[in-house]
Amino acid sequence: MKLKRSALLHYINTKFDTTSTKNWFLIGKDVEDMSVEMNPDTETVKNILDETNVNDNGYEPAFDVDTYFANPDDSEFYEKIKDIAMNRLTGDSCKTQVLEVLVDKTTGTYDAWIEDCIVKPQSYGGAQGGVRIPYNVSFSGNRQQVQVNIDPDTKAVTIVTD
Amino acid sequence: MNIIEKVREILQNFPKIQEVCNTVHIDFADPDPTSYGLSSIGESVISEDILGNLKKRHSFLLYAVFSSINDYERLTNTSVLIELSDWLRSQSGEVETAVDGEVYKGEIIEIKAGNGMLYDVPQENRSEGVRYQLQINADYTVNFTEV
Repeated sequence: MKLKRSALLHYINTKFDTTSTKNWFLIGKDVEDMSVEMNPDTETVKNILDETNVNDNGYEPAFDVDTYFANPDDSEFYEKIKDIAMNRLTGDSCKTQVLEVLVDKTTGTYDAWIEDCIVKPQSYGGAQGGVRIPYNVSFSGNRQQVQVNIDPDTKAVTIVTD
Repeated sequence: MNIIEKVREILQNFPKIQEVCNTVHIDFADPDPTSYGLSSIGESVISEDILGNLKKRHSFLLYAVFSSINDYERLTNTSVLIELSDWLRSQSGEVETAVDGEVYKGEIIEIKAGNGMLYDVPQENRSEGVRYQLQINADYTVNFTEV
């Protein structure tokens, strides 16, 4: 049976500090379409013998969250995205971690991956209906696989093994 | 409080309705003037986000029985329906939706009302109460990540 879209979950560490206790914010409310773009970096080189080689330089993954309605109820995440956007923060101030979880079993712990990332608001404002702050998440390495538990009701995530 | 109960509560808080009656009936309106009845006529899913949360639209017909002796009264009647349409647009609130025994929270995004018109003249007699109809669409969310 094919997995529902809600089986792939993305969380952002709202602490924006890779050393302290993590607090995971679930991405996706009001977002109807979101994909991690792998952005593979390859180059094809043809030598003087007419042989073709492909150099694989890896990936530059990122994803766009095209709809985020500014919501003070999102507490830490809202405060941080507001701070980055309105105070034009750069560098380490935008650095945190992203957690990807694939819910492909009915019970037990789930496979998940943590990676450092940069969160960058793309704009703010938008049409009538609410203040939107769409943002981009760029993966920046230090990827590791973990196991997590997920509360089936609230989707709150707990890392079982680092 | 589900979407039908919530919209009914909102309607009952409309000042002009409070002035003339204390309750909005469901699927029924008294034949006497200043009676209101709310009928649910369907629901559809507008969109679904990647977490499975839904935006839904619930459609209603509001039947309002007004006195209709002359043009002055009929103009007053339609004016009340226009006022009600404008008032509904500014309303919001939390709603609950039961799915498979679990109750999920959500909120009203927007209520739109329109096409208020004279719908029925019972017994072909204008001096009795005549029935107006107003179409109402309530858009609301169902958040499956908030129980």
